[in-house]
Amino acid sequence: MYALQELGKYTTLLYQALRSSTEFSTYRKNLFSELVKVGYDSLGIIMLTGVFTGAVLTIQTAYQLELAFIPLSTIGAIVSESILIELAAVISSLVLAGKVGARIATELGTMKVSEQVDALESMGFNSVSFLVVPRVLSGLLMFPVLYIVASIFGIGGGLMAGILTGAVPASDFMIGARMYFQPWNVLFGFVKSFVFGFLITSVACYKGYFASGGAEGVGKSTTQATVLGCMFVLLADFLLATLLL
Amino acid sequence: MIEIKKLKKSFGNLLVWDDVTFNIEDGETVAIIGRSGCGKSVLMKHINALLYPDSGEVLIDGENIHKQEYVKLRKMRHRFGVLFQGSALFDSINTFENVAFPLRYFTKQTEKDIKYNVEQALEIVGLVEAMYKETSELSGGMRKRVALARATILQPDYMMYDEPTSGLDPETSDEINQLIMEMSNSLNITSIVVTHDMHSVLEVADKVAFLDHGKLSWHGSVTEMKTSTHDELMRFVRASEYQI
Amino acid sequence: MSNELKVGLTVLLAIAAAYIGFRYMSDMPIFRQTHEVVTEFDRVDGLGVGNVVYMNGVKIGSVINIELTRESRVRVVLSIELDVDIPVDSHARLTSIGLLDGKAIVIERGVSDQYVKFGGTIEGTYVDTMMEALADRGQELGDDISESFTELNQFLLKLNKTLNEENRLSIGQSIHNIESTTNAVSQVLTSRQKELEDAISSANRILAQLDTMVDDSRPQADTLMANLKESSKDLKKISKELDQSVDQLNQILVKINNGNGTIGQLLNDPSLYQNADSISVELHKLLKGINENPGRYLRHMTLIELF
Repeated sequence: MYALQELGKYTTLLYQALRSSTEFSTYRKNLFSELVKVGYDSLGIIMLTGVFTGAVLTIQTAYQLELAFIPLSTIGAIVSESILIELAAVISSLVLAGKVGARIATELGTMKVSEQVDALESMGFNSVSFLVVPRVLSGLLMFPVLYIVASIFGIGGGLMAGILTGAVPASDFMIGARMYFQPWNVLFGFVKSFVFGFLITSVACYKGYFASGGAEGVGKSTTQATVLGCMFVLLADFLLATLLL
Repeated sequence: MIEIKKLKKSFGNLLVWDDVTFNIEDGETVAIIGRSGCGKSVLMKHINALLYPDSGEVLIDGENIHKQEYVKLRKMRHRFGVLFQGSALFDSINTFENVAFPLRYFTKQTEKDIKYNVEQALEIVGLVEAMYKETSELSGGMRKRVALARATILQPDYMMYDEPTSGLDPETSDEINQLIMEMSNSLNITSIVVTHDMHSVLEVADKVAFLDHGKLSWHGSVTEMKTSTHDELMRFVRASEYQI
Repeated sequence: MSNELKVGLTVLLAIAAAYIGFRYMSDMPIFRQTHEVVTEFDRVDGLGVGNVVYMNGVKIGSVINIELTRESRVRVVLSIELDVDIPVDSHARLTSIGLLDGKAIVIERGVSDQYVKFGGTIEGTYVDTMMEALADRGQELGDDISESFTELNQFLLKLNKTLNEENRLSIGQSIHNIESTTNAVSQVLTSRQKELEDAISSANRILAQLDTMVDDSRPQADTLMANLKESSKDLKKISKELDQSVDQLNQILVKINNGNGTIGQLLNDPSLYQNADSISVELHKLLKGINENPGRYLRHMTLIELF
C-alpha cells in the first residue's frame, strides 16, 4: 500500500515534470549548470572507473583463459564486448548513483526542508520545472555521453593492461575487439545508459523533493535515493536484457 | 480582499483546524496568533495555495485560488510576497542574486535596472553593504532582511510573514517590526503576520485572528482584543510578558 | 569557462570519440571521403550493411544501404574509396566470404575508359554459392548420407561386438606371430639369396634336361622294359645255377674244412676265414633280396646303365 502510494507520488511528479518541460526559459540556466555537474564534473571519476574496469577485466580474463588453447584475440573480444554491452553503462551508473543521485537528493532535500521550494513556488515559479526537469534532463543527456567516455576508457584500459602485463599484445587485443564488434551492442549500451540516467536522477529528485524532517530527513532521503537508484539500475538492466536481447 | 470560508485541513487522521472563516480587507494588517503547532503557518500556506484544504475555500478578490489552473495560480501568486520562517534564501547564489532572482525570471529588465532595483530594495532593509556577500556569511537578522527585500522586490499586493521575529534578539525584532509597518504603510501592502509574539502583534497589527483547539477561536481588531473577555485569548495574551 | 561551453565541449568530444570509435571498430574508413556506387541484384540473401566490397581481392569499400525496388529487385548502395575508379562496364558479384561467414560483394573490373560517377549504377549478378547449391539438393543428399551412416554405424557396432577383449588380444598375437615369421623368412631369404638363386637356376636346368631326356629316351625305355622282363627270367635261371654252385661250393668247403691240400692250410688263417664269412653273409643277403624283389635291383641297374 505504502509502496503503491510512493509510486503514485513518483509518477505524479514525473507527469508534472513532463508537463512543465516546455517551460524552457524557466530551467535553461539550471539545465546548463546541471549538465556541467552531471556530465563535465563526472568525467574524471568515469574515466577512472572505465580504465580500471577494463584493466581488471583484461587481466582476469587472461588469467581464466590461460590454460585453454584459445587465441589471445578472444580476450580482446570478451573485454570490449563486455564493456560495451554491460560494464560501461552499469558500473558507471552505479558510481553516478552515488555521485549524482546523492547530490541531487541532498540539494533538493535541503531546499525542501528549508522552505526554499516553498519560496520558489510562492514567488510564482514552477518548482518542478525549475528543479526537477533540468536534473532529469541532464541525466538523460549526459549518461549516454558518459557511457561513451566509459566505453572508450574501458577498452583503452583493457588494452593498456594487456600490454603492460604482457597478457595480450595490442594487435591481438584490437583484432579480437574489432572482429566481434556489433553495432547493436553499442546501441544497447546506449539505451541502457539513457534509462539508467533517467532512473537515477528521477528517483533522486523524487526523494529530495518530498524530503521532510530537517537534517535527518535529508540524510534519510539521500541514502534512499542512492540505494534505490542502484537497485533500479540493476533491475532495469535485467529487464532490458530480457526485453531487448 | 481575501475571504477565507469554512476552511478545513487535516494531515492524515490529525485534524489541524476546522471551520475557519474570516476576511482580510485590503490595506490592513492581520496577525494570526496561537500556540505553537496550532496550524498558523499551515493556514498561511493555504492563502497562496502552497497547501490545499480538505474543504472550504480561499477567495482572492473573489477568485478561488485552490481551483485555478497551475499557470493562472502562479500568476495569482505573483501578488503575494512571503517571508519564510527560516528566510529560505537560495544558498547557491549570493545576496544580490537572491534579491534579483524574481526580477530575472519575471521581468524583462536590463542588468542596469536590476542592479538599481536591488540596491533600492536593499537600502530599504538597510543592507546595501552586504550586497555581494554569500548568504552563508549572513546573520539570522540579515537573512530575514534580505528575504524581505526579495519578497517585496516585485511589489506584491499581499505580504505574508511567517514568524518574522522568532529567534531574533529584541532589538533586531523591533527593526523587523518597523520594516513590516513601513512596507504596509508606504507601499500600501496588505499584510498577514503569523506570530506568537504579542509585542509584534500590538506593534504592527490592525486585526487579530486567534487559532485555538482546532478552530478559529477569536477574530477581531486589536482594540477589541484589548477589551475582550475571551478566556483562551486572555490566557494567551497574558502569557506574554507585555501588559496591555 | 561558462557552463554552456563546458557542456558543449563535453558533448562534442564524446560524439567525435563515439563516431571515430564506432567507425574504427566496425571497420569503416574513419576520415577518408568515399563515393557511392549503386548496383542491383535479384536477391542478396545474407548481405548486410557494413559488408565489405572487394576488387581484385582488395577491400575498397562497404555496403551502406540495402532496399527493395519496385521491380522486386534489391538495390544495394556501396560506399567506395575515393581513389578507386570503377569502369562503367564493371559488374558486381555477390559471394560468400567463407562457408559460414557473411556475404561480400566483389567488383569485377571492366575495360572501359569511362568511370562510374557518384551515385552511378553498375550491373550486379547473383551467383549461387556452394552452400546454396548444397541447400537445393540438401534433402536428397541428406537422406543418402544418413542411410550410409546408419549402415556404417551398424557395421561398426558388429565389428565392435566381435572384437571383444579376448579376440582382440589373440588377433594381436597372431599378427605379431605372422610378423615375426615373416621377419625370419625374410632374414633367411636375404642370407640365402645367392644359394636359392643357384638352386632355382640349377633346378630349372635339370628340369629342362629332364624334359628333353624323357622325350629322347622314350623308345629306349620301352626296349629297356622288354629287356628287363627277359632279364628277370634269366635271373631265375641264374638263381638255380647259383644254388647248384653253392652245393658244389659246400662240398669243396667241407674238403677245405678238413684241411686237405693248400686251401685247407690257407683256411687256417682266421682273417681269411672271417672275410670269406662276411662275404658269404653279404652274398646271402643279396641273393635273398634279389629273390624277393628282383625289380628293385634291376631298375637300379638299368638307371645306372642309362646315365
